[in-house]
Amino acid sequence: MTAPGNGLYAPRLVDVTFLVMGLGSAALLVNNAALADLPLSSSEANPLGGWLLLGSVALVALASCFAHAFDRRGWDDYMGQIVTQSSMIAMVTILLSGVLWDFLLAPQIGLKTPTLMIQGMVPIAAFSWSVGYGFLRWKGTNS
Amino acid sequence: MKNRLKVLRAERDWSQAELAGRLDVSRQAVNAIETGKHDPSLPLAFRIARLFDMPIEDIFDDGEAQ
Repeated sequence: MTAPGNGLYAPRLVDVTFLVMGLGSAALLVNNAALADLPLSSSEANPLGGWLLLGSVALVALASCFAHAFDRRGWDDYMGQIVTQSSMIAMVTILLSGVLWDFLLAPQIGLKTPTLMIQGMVPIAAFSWSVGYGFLRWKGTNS
Repeated sequence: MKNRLKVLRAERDWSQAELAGRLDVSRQAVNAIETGKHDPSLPLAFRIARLFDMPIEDIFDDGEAQ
């Protein structure tokens, strides 16, 4: 394990990273990034699209597994649990906020669905992860 | 989960940073454990027990002890 107080995984550095990520993603959301009206998945137009998408997701997921193993060796017990637990909070938030927005809120203001495409999903993921991180950092992992 | 980490540290006149260094974790981790905001993982609990030369159950109390 690296020295947590001095290295890449120093709690203050992680705090600042999530603060910047949270503020940046909030700014993107406020600036209507989520309202981008994009065409549907390319898999509809190209039969290879679905396989390409599946393969790329599998590759990114595999790379993330190795990156996570690297992180796990670097960060300490407390920060590691906060980051992983807040990522679960973010995942649930993405799913529920997507349903809330697409089926309830967006139609109320006259937007046609689906509106939550990648420009919206990335800042939502980043913002909800940052909120989860901040909450657990404040209340602890036993909250 | 309750623990005696703060008392044990104070008995040895260690700062949180000093204890963190001995356990190879951040000072924030020591603070979070002492204030009950975080339960350590099993490997870290073992490191704490070895450092203080005590059984884990003498340091941590999950409230289930008879």
